[in-house]
Amino acid sequence: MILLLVGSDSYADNQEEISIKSAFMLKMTHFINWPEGSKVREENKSIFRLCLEHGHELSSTLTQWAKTGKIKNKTVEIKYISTVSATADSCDILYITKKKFLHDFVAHSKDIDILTISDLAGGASSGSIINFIKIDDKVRFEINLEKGENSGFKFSPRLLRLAKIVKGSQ
Amino acid sequence: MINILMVVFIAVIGFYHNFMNEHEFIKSKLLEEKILTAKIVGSYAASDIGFDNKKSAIVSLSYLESDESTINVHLYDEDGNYFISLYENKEIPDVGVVSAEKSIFKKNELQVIEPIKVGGELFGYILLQSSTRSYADDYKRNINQIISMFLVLVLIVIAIAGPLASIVTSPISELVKATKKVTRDNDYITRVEVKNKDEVGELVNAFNEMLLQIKIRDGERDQSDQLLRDSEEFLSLTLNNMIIGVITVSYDWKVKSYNRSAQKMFGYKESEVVGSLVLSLFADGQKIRLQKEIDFHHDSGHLGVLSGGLEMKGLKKDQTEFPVYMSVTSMRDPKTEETIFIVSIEDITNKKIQDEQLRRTQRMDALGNLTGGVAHDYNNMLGVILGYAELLSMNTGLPDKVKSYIKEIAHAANRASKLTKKLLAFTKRTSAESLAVNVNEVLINNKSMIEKTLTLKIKLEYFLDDNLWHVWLDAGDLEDAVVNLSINAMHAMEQGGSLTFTSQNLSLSEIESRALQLPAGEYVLLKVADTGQGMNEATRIRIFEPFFSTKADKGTGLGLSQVYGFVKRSNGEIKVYSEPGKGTHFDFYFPRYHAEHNNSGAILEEENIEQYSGTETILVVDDEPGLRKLADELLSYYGYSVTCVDCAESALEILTEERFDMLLSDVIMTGMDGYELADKVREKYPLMKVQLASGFSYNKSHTDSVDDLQNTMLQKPYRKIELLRRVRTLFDEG
Repeated sequence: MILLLVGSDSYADNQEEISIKSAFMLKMTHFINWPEGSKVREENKSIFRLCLEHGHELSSTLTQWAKTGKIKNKTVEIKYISTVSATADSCDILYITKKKFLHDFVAHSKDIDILTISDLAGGASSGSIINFIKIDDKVRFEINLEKGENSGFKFSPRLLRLAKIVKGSQ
Repeated sequence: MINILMVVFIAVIGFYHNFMNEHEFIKSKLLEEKILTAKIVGSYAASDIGFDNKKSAIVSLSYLESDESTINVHLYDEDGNYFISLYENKEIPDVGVVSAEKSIFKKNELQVIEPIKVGGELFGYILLQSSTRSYADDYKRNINQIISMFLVLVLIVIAIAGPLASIVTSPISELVKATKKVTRDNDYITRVEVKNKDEVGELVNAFNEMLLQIKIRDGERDQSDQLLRDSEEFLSLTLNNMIIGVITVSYDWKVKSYNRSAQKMFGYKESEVVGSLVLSLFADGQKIRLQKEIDFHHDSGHLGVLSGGLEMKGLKKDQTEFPVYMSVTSMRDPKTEETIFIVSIEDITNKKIQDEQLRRTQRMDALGNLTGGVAHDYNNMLGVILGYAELLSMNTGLPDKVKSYIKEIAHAANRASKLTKKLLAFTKRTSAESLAVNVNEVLINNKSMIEKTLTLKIKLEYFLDDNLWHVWLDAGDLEDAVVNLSINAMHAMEQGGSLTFTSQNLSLSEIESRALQLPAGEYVLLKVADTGQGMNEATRIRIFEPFFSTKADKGTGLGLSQVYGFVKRSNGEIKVYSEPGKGTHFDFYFPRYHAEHNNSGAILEEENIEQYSGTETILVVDDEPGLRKLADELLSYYGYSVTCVDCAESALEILTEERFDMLLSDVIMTGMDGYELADKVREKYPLMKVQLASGFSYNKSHTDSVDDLQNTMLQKPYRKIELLRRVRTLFDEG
């Protein structure tokens, strides 16, 4: 359904990319297991927290989707944050599109059970666990496997198979 | 053979079933395998579809390249849109809208569509096209295997079916054989041998047990059947041996059954009567009476005795009528609920004859009493006349002329006495002169006299039994009877003929004797048969009556009555058989006499009368004054001391005052009779002699004393010498 939104002009191209990334982000959750002790693994927690930077371009698509969709069998809650401190104990996925924010987060956040997904050139090697990239004009993603696994995430081979595995700072 | 075909048939069914199962099994196994493959490959490719990576998808699908059965594999996105195929150059099959799991078996191909889900979320669909060749191979291999196995099995079945079948069927064949034997011969003793302890063995055991139970039940049934048959036979025998005729009749009066007595009575066989109207068994005039019985029942519906002892006339087959007593009862047949009439018939022909004989006998008795009474009175008077004539003749001083008158008086009185004797001979009385007699001797002694009586025109024939028994009778009476019959025969055969005397011994059974109205026992039969003119029935039944005569002035009518009296006196019987023109037979039945007897008949000779005189005292009792006086005169004349009284009561009275040596008493007297008086006198005065005199037969109940007195009875009118001899003899006996 998301893919239906795909257009042919530049706006449409942008929109399509947004949709694809939104869809990718949601689909990735099926191939990733959150670390032991994380809130996502707690069955009694019924909310899956998806944090976006305030005013992010994905927000409208994801908000729309979150009304009916579920992640890890939990209702999705879209949260908008503007500071790293606001993420503390508040996010299960943190979508980062700003390099500074990624740096700050990597430098200050101690929440290791937040799956960080960035859309930044060299995002994965900069400390994000997953990072969207474009290869042959197609949306693809890279995974900082070491970072993710050190944080306690487990990745499905089927996901890893499609990802570009990168190494980078912890 | 049928067994083998059955086994083969069952095997075919079994193999077919097995084959189909196998086929389905292989098919489902293949499907399961392909679905699993599709799922696995689909899950590999899930992320490829999800993250729109066709290259990766090809890699994921290439996993199936190594599977030879893979024709192609296609991926579709979550909306069912084609995504990619393993072999892009091959045609994509048209499976319609891809939206759900689906499996399609085509000729050589299996198409499986499986949704691809991860964490419950739909990523897309996978369509796996597989060749079913391996399945077909399996299928063929299976068929070959099955056919081979089947053939082997058929061979095995053929090889072992016979022996195997015989193991099973042999006891069953035995059972069938036994069953047939039981059905054919009712042989419940036969048993089937138990060869095995399996189910068939149990069946055989049960069969044997069943036969035993049937045998027991059969035995019980046979026993009750036999009892029933015995009972029926007994009832039938009883019915057929009844003297009365029993005829059962249906409601419409048709004969249903007819017992043996009825057959004898009517002369019809049962088959001739059953089904015909019972009315035909009765004389015309009787049918109305029978019809009344029917109507009575029909009107009243009464059950039970309808009529009893109704006198009717039955009609024999030869159309002769015979008298019967008919009783009719009705009952309800318990089976059919129909009314059945039971007609009992008693043939009373003999009873009628006996009644007639009894009636005749009674008439003869009445005549005898009348005749005896008259003769008694005449005897008394003749006794007086004779007595006084004798007394007068003793007077020697009378003129000869007077003496001749007295002689004439005595002669006439003697003749009159003989006549009354004949009359008295008709009446039954015990003859004091009866002796054991051989009838043959009497016949032989009188042959010349009979011949003279019969004249030369009539032939006299004797057929005598040399060993004839003795009989107890008065030979004189028999002579008289023989002469009487000869005279009658002579009159009946004026144109000549023959008279035959036949004697024979005869033992009469109960039945034979009953018909002759005689007690059963041994008899001497004397047959006297002439070939004269015979007589009709009306004459025959009256010939023994006194004064009945067919000879007008030729006879007195006393001859045969005298014969009749003699026969009765001898405790015998006489039967007459006669038909006009066919002669007459008289059959005399005299009872055999057993004891030895002095057969020498006493012959009265001229005796010295003086030897009978005496001086004893005699009490004379007689209600006839003339005889009283005569006895007084006669006895007194010869020295006896005589006292006379006119009745028994006076005699007893005088005996209380005076002693007598002898009582001489009449028997028939007004008031107490001579027998009673004799009894009383003997009781009170046992030393006193008793002599009775009578001119009349008198039946007295038989006691010893009566027999004694009857045997020594003086027959009136007695002659002087008879009286004196009797008196003297009695005194001299001591």
